[in-house]
Amino acid sequence: MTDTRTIRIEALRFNPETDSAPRLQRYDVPFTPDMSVLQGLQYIKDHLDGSLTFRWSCRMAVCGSCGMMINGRPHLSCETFLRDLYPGPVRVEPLDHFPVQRDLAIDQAGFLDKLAAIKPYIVSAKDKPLSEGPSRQTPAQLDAYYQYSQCINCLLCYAACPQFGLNPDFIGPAALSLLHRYNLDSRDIGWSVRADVANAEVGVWECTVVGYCSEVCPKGVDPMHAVNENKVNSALDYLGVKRLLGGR
Amino acid sequence: MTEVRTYRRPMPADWWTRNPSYVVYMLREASAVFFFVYALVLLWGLYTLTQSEAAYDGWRALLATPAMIAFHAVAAAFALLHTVTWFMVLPKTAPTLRLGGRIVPVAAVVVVGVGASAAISLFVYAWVAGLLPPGLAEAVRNLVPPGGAS
Ligand code: SF4
Ligand code: FES
Repeated sequence: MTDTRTIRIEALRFNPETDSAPRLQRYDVPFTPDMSVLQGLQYIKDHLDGSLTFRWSCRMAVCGSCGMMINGRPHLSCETFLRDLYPGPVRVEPLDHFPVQRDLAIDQAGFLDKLAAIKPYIVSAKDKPLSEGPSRQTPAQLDAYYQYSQCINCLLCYAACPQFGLNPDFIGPAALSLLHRYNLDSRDIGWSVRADVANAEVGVWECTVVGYCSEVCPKGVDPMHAVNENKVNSALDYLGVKRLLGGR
Repeated sequence: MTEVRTYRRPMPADWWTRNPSYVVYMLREASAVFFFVYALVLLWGLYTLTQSEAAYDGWRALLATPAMIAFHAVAAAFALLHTVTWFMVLPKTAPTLRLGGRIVPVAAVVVVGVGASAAISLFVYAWVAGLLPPGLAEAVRNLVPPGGAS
């Protein structure tokens, strides 16, 4: 017999069709030690209130869709366990700084536009036919960008960034980390096409080094480092020496 | 595309009180105010030096007042906080440091940075206060070119 306890989950509710402002709703949820906050929410949806809206997909910290504020901190709800929050209550809210679409689901459209703006793909010097085989990379070349390629677009870093909260136009930690990821790739020549985004007022210079983004990132991407290393690049670019030093 | 109606939660003026990480950040930023005032006090002292001995003594007497001592104690605490947090941030703002092909761990940068700044501060303090061991004091004196400051 597994040991089942009960914990109170307080969820922020917002229905755009009927509500003018969000409100908190409380649910008492029985849970076993192996249950995540996401599973607690699924219990609510299956047994207590089918109208509760939230996103998830992989349930294993890979897809990045289940991010939410849990007791005021950004977390992936699939890797946050109810047993660690016992006796509760557990307050779940949509990610900070984003417009709330419904209940715990935020509107990601602004982020997706920013992601598209940084050209998150390899910009290569020439079209290489498949017949030429793969582009080889040394372990050191892979190592140069590997950490930044681990981003799962969960947006926890945006919820941690007061600068993004104050200015929603800020390109922000994850998009700038991915910008860095592609710039660091030996197969990519896209620095100059991404430079406008990095150099803009809402680019790397909007960051005031709060650093909480890197603390909450579940994948060890260290977005703060990516952003601030690009302040150096942006300054070199401004002085015109970036290209001299081998910037592509 | 259909326009989705969303709710934007306001960002309150006290946003930074909600999380210890934000509080530390705000304190680090606030430390600048104390450095600025401290620098003004110091400059003022230098200025009195150009005036007269009485003016300089007056400045020194002012420094010994409880209010000034309290200010310096607070400023020193902020300086300590700033130093430590600055070195904690350094590995994130500087390009990745590599030694023999390996990335230097963040903790090493912080420990070496804080350690070096503490050692240099202690050395300068001991030097000014005349607390250096005689051999070291002699060596430091020899570093000063003849005719320079004594
Ligand atoms: S940088 Fe980290 S916190 Fe930000 S979206 Fe990517 S994985 Fe999530
Ligand atoms: S459900 Fe995929 S990251 Fe949590």
